Amino acid sequence: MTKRRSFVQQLVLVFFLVLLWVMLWDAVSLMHIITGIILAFLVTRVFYLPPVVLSGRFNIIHALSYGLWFLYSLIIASVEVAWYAFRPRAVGAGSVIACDLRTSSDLLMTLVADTASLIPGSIIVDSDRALGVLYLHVLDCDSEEKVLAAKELVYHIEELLIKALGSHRDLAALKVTPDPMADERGGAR
Amino acid sequence: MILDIISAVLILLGGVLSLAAALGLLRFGDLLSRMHASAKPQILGLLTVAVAIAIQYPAWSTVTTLAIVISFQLVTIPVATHMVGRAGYRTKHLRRSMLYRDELAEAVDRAEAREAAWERRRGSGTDHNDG
Amino acid sequence: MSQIVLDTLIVAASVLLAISVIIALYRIVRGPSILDRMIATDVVLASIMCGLGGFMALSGRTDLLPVLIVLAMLGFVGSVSVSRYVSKSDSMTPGAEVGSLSDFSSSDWHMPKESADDAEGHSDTGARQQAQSPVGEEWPDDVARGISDVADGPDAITVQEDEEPVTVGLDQGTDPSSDPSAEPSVDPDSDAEGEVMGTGPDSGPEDSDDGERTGPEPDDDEGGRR
Repeated sequence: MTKRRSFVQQLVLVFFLVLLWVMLWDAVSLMHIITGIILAFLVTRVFYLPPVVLSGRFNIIHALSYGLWFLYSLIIASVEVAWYAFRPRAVGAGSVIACDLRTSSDLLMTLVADTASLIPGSIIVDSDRALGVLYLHVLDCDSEEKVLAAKELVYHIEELLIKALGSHRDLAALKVTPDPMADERGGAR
Repeated sequence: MILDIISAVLILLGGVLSLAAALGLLRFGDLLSRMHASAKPQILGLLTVAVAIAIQYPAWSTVTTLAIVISFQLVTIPVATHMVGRAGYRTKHLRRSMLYRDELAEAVDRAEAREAAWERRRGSGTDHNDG
Repeated sequence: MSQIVLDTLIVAASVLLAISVIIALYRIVRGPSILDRMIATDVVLASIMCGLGGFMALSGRTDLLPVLIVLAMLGFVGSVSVSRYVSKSDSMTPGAEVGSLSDFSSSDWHMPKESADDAEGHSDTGARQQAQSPVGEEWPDDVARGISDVADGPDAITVQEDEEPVTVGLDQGTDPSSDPSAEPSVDPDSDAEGEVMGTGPDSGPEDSDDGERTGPEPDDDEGGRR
């Protein structure tokens, strides 16, 4: 990465940290901003994070649709897990499924994993960064249809995120394989 | 007064979700399922409680602090559950073989087979295998 | 009238939260592994946060909001450190699993056969546990003494460090046969390679791999990216 790009990223980082600091103090005053800037610089120097490769693309409409879908799924699935806890049968066996993501970017993989972990029903257990594969444990997944449904959910999350945040290469990958489940649905795995 | 009642209803919902989390902890069979039950309703419970606080005090200061709390939780809960899940999956005596399908184990087996084949091809060189 | 409704709702919410804490306490006591206890502690923490939030909403004070932040951070840091401790200690050679085994009680070995079968293919469990796991009545020595007298430091651990390359992310990073947890060698994300070093449960987190990973921006994103 060029120095300029990482400088801009450091600036964005510092900005967000200052924002956080000001929000913690619940008041916007010059003193808070100055101390915030000093502390932010200290933090980014001492706890140095490697720079995140952003794609430079942010589609607000798709991002909003992702946010709304996320909220909706969160509510529905939380109620579902809560229902599992209350109903007499409790829960069946789980499964660990592998999802071969189409994206190759770190940030997107992380976001997909985070979202899949937040939406009840799946927890990310492991990942294979080199191949771009996520392994998730899915709750109550003891038949083929449920396994397929869980994989479709993950691919749907990935699709929403690529449309909102993905780079152009990711978008191209999305066009190449719009339906990564096709071969799996065809035959039993 | 109406606002108070709405807040109380939301907090009751938070309580129900906490109870669901605890019941799931009690009733589910293995570690990974219990983790689902514990972490997920927690998020929604906190969200409802935060909304309850926010409608009582719509000032900017409280709303921003609540936003901080919720976004901390949103970011850290997946990380914490992932780490616990990974530790629980890898240390075999914490995991029951109650999995219907385990594609990670298949990948591990493939990797191990590949590694063993590689070791064999290399001869006994530096011996990594001591059982 | 509405005051009665309000009071009933508040009482009901408090009772629910208290019940959930008690149930989680049961899991803390009973949980066959330290990870079970950890997630039960998380549930207790979440109930406390809900209770505190409810208190703030209905009693007119907002100065306790930073307490919520602190509790959230405590829960997170606790979960992560315990789980790193467990993965590290469980990949050590027999006799050195301080963190995980000292929490077991003998009743835990009444778990169904699969876990015993899993345990015996697993070099960590050590001969001591092997002999007692099918029976379940004999108490492991440390539990019978009432304390975990297991040697608590690097001297109890046969050092594996001469076998373990420190670099993470290469295919030779794992030790498939002596590493019973069987991390896939194609997985560069597993920082258990650093953890298999067996240098004792307290030798801080081997964060050498974390520096090389590009990760998401720090958690002050305000949900803007979501």
